[in-house]
Amino acid sequence: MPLGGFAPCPLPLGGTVLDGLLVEQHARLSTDLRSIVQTAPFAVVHFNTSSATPLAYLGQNDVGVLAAPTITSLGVGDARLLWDVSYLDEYDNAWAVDLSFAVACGEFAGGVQNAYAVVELETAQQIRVRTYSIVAGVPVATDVSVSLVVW
Amino acid sequence: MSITPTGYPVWVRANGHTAYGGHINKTNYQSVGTINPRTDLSAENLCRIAADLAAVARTAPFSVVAFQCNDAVPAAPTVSKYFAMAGTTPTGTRNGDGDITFVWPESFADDYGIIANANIVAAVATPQQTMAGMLFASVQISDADADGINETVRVRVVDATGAAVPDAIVSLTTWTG
Repeated sequence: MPLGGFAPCPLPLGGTVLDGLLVEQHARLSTDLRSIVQTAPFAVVHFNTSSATPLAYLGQNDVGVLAAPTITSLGVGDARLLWDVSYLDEYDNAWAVDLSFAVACGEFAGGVQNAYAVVELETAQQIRVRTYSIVAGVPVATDVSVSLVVW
Repeated sequence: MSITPTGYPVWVRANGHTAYGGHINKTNYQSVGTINPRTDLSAENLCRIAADLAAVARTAPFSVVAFQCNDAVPAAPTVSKYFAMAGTTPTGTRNGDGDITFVWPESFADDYGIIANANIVAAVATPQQTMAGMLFASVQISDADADGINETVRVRVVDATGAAVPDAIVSLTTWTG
């Protein structure tokens, strides 16, 4: 079945596994993609609560720290992340940022032997993260790096 | 001769919609749309697939590991489940009670044999509670061989007093980029 220059979009489903896209393959692609989209995180941020600078950012809106939310340090072990209310996708369509869930994990380093993070979904674009370490059996606010995942 | 896909393996996080066939000016040939949606894939369909896949590919975890520390009889952790974009279960080493280190290879090949680095940039560990009380898990991402690629994640599990938790059960998720 000729495709490519002989049959551009709309792409006829069919052909063979070597030169086409089978109806069954397209059905699998469609349903798998839908499933993944439904549970995919909106963003993953690696940052330090004492720093206003993200260390790494993976977002559905873009990849790289330039696309990261604005991070504000609110004190020791306490930071706020603020996303824009919307972002443009690759076709320049605007989509609202409507955060619903978040999980975070603290990162130990240097003298901090353990760390944990607690998240607070303040608004649909704003998340507050507090980090602690346990010192002499007591949780103490401590600046540590955090991996934050939001949906 | 096998085909070389466009773009990069997904764990590099470098594929935009064009890598999947999207284009902001893509059109149906001679502007003739789908004749039969049961048999045709339109330019609009293809662009939606491409953009959605590019979006979720940016944030999808590289790996998810479910494991248990072996501390009563000290040994490497037991991995019960492992899901990953590529490769097999990483090597786990016991450092102490509730304290393990996983080391991944620094590069993997995709289904088409394209090899790319896997630089770990984020990790989330959560203890799986089997007893009453508070448990916390924390992580440490590092570049143990100092070559610019983070390949190591150390995980520690402690209780509310900060004491190490032996034989801890943990779910660990990692992201590369």
